[in-house]
Amino acid sequence: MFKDIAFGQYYPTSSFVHNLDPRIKLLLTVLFIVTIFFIQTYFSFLVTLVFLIVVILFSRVPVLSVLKSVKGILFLVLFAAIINLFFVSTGEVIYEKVITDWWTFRITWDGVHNSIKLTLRLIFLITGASIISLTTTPMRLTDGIESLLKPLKVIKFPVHDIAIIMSIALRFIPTLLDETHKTINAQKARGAAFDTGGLIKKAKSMLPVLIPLFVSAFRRADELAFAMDARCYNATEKRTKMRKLKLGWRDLIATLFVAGYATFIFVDRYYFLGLDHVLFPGVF
Amino acid sequence: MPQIEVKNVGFQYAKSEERDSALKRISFSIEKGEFVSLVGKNGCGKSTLAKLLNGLFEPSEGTVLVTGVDTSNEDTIFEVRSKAGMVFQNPDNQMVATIVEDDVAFGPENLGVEPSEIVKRVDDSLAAVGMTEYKTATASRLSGGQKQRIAIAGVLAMKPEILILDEATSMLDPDGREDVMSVVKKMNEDGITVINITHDMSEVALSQRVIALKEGEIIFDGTPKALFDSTEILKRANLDLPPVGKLKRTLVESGIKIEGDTLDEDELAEEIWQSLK
Repeated sequence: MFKDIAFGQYYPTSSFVHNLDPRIKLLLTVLFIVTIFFIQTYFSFLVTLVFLIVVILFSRVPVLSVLKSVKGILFLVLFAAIINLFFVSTGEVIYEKVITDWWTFRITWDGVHNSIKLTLRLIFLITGASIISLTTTPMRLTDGIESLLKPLKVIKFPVHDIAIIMSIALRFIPTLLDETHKTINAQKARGAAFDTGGLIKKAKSMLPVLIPLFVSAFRRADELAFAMDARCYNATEKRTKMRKLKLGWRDLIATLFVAGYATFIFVDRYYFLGLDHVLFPGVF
Repeated sequence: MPQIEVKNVGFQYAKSEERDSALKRISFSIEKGEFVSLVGKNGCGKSTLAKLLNGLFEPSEGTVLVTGVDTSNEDTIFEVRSKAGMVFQNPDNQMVATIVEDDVAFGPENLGVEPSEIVKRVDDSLAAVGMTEYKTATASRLSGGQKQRIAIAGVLAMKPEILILDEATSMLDPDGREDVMSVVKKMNEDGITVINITHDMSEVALSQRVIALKEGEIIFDGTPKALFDSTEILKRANLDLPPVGKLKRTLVESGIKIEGDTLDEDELAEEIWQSLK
């Protein structure tokens, strides 16, 4: 039931991408995601695919685990693609049928292109995002976020508290998942049925699982607070970090590589204005 | 000066008259290097007492001094807590970080220790509990006993003088229990004072001194041997003999003479062997 949750899916190995500074990885991932939304041409999509393959090769993560996270959003991608296909009504018409006076069912070339591009965009986006979660431990990720948010301390934003809340949340995901399984089994043993009935009945049947889960989560929080107090937790400036984040030559190379890719996409969009016409004549 | 001094300490959870005090004006002191067991049935005030010993609770009356420092003083509370480290019952509810080494580093990070020194302390503490090979492991995948050893390492990394175990072995399987107790025994031999709250009489047999509580009052303070010999106190505190003690008593009652006063399995076996010769 919860096996497909792709969270904290760190793939432990040592690679070029694994050893990058988490701050650099976060910033480059953001740059990549922004860049993806500027892609206009199929040629740029092709370049993005090559770019991602190179990154995956350098991360030494099996392609299968990357594809697994793409699988998780397949339904969403399909849904978005279909909506685009049916509701974009500009461009050359492929198929048309009048259904009622106020709505004509129409599929156009613009719609087809839009949905293909949207599909590719979403798939690439998830691929990019999953690479960072596959190659960075949650702890390093929170370290990175904390470090990047540091400037916000000026406006009294509780950066450190947010970071510790995040790392505790990540830490408790497997524990609570485990507990959910146990509760489900315990309720099943008492004759509860989770897989039958309609949507509402199914949702209702989750209540006897959720309530004990909530109660126990609060109890755990209480005990954890004592444990943290006992270990002298205090969110003051005095606190140090075992690991200092340090930038290295790898980070420079990675930044240049991603920046190069992004520059190409922007140039393709605003300068070549559609390399597709040259590369794929006749189609466009 | 004793390391821990509890003077006329009373504690009440809610500030209402109807509820009984969890602790009723108790006093005792613990010297450096002692291995003390704290026993009593559920609700007798053991855990409350433990939380008073490192300033997690403030006494309603009386004072608790840890290495001469008053635990109810806000300014020195972190000094007390770093000196008296505490390991709790549920291994899952005291881990802060996902990765073992990050969790061990949590204490020293809070104390503001230099990063290079933290790395050293983490390595030393993990070595002391025999968990070096799990340094970069995911904590949630470890067994209960391993998690509790990590929790002990987390306390050791703060360089404590006192280790308080609040039923730290009660959720473990026999193997995990044995691993944890042997680590604790080693800590004690290295000079750390140990206060072990437990229901397990075999653990009590390991200690040098037992304090038994009942309804917030101390009903016994002495050696494990004296406790096990006194049927009346055992009954009053709702305690049982450890398996070895039970066997010995049964043997004595059936007329077999056992000379020594051991509570160790192997030594008892040896003595039975001697008496049969």
